[in-house]
Amino acid sequence: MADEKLSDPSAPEVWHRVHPLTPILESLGVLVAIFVAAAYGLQNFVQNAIEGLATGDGVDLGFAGWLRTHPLVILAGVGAIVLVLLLTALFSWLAWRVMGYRVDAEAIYYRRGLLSKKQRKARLDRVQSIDLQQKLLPRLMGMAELVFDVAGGTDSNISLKYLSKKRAEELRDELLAAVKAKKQSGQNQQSAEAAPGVERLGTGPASAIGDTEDPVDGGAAQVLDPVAEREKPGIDHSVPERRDDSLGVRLSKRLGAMAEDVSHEAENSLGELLAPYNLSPRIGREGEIIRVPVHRVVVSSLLKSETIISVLVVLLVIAVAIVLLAMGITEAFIPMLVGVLPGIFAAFSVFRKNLDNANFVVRLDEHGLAVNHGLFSTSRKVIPLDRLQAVSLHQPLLWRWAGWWKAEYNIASAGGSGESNLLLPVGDIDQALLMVGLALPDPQLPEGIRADTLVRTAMYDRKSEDPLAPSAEALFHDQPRSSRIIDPLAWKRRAYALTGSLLILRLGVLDRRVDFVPHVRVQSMRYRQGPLMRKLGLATVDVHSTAGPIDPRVTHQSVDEAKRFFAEHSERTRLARQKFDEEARAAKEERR
Amino acid sequence: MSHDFNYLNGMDADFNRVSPKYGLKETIASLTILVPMIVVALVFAIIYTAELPWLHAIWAALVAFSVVLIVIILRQARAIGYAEREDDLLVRRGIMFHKATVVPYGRLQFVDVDAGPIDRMFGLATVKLHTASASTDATIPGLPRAEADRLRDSLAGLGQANLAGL
Repeated sequence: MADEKLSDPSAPEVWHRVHPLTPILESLGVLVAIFVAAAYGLQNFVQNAIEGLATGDGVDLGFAGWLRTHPLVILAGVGAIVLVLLLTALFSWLAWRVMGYRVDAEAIYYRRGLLSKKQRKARLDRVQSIDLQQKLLPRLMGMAELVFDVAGGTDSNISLKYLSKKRAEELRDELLAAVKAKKQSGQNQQSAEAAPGVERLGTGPASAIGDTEDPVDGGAAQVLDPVAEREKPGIDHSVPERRDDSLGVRLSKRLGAMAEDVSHEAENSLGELLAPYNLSPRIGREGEIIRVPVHRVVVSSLLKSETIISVLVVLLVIAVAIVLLAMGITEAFIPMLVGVLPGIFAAFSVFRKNLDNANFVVRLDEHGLAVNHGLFSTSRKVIPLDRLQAVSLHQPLLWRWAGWWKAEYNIASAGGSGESNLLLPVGDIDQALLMVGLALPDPQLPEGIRADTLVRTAMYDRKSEDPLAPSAEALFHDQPRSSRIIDPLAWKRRAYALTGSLLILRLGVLDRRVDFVPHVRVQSMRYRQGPLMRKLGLATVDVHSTAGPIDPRVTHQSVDEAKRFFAEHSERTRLARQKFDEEARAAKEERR
Repeated sequence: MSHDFNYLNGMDADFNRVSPKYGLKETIASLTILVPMIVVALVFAIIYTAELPWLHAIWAALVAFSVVLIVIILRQARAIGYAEREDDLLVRRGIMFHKATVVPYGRLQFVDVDAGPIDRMFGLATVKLHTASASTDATIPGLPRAEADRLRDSLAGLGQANLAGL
């Protein structure tokens, strides 16, 4: 591991080499593809052989028989393979010599490519997060890759691969510290920096939030920079706790102020902050607060309706094949069996994707919530709690008997696509409440209603077994009876509730769902009414959040109620936002 | 007719209408497609009038459709309204489908001003507001160019004055 003894990475113009096994690991994919192709070719032969055996004709050896009589051909074949392997090794070595990375005070550089040189650069002050990823093969060999998420479009990531796991961890910690320092020092100069749009590569805040349109097109547009100071990895500790910060952020701020390793103190803080939820979370080894065991992920993914449907289809095909066989129609049997294989593979791949969430472990530290997950390949990432825009709880129909819930979030960043937005892949109600509680601000409820009662009422509507449920139910605004024509099933369950800091939406009859949107995170809103809704005296208000799995809307309320909500909620969110910003500004002033 | 649009009367907002030329512009834009279609249909109908007399129905239907479309377009153009309020901008559209969008100044990311070729012929422009949410669809079409520029500048100023955390 030559790279481990190399000098200080911040020294200028020193290119560090990646691990020597890298080119081999990268070309392994190609080797596997060749192997699969060969296997596919063989499959034909085997199928013929089986059919031959089944019909009693004996196996036609054909080509193999011819080979036996021509040994020179075999020799030539082996020679060619050896030659190819040698050439591969040579080119791998040459490729490895030019692969490397360099870190200086400004940026991280990554270069590769023997024939076509490629070099990528990520400015330290634009790096959003650094993830350590371990795919299956690298993991088996103790390798890892570092993925730098740079604010901006989807292909702006740099994936530095491969390093030994130890080296990768060191580098990650070093760089995280550097990024943090860089951003803090850069903050004061940022206002004096050149006009936004000059360096769109690193992307200004506008595009960091998911819009790739160039705003300086022909001078017709004007860039506003309302978030210039707020893009940071981890949590901004310079601003003291605010009431509308999510509880997790407040907790990290408290943890940051504490000495190392005072887990009981951390536990007290956690308990105190989550008091409205009536939870007593335990903090395990290394700040672990949640662990989702493998078997639960397996069972829960089997209980999704997609999985069950594909399993049923496969079973049906097999049953039909057996019936046909029993009727003496043998011709159809093998093609059917071959036909069912892709179905099984598809089901398996879905299943494997779910397994990626096995061993989902959430740890609490001063950077926020650190998540590790994966069975065959592990990855870790930090959920940036201070950038969460909305949170949802979801319970597919078949999870009911187990009482499991899944939690997801929307985030202010580019490319928020399904799988990476998981807060909790599957968990019991206490775990769901814990994660949701950490991701949301203090709900600021009226006297006499506890947060867990409210959330349970949102989850289980009138079936909630909480003794205080009726008082929480009073907070919910149901849809009027006339909406049953549009929502024949859901109209009784769908409702919205408002607390001092949250909008809570209760949705979904079969697949239960609850959306939470903090007031300070609302972007814009839309009131709308179509002709049918007008006939029924109904209207809907969309609450716009950033891109992600959650698309909150207050559906089919009576016109007056919807209008009132539209008007009042824009006022409510404005006040919340104002207070939130003022607290941050005051803290900044004080620091100067 | 204008009472149709006052579905937001509870919001105490003073709505500005877009330029009256906008309806005209939209009509012309849709006619550039419809008129050639009608002409083609008419020519075919006249050529084959002996063999296929029902071809006349096609251009007649197209003309009727155009008339209905123009009426709708003109009404829709009149239904567009926007109001600059103290802390947010309210945009209202639609006759059949009422839509009203409220965009807080503090949430504005950037503001686009677009003007296509037909727009420019009429001296019009479209102002589009962007927030961090992709679903924010706050577009004000058919503004006179000067008004569009004024709106953009004023929104830019207000956006900066209302820095809001994300």
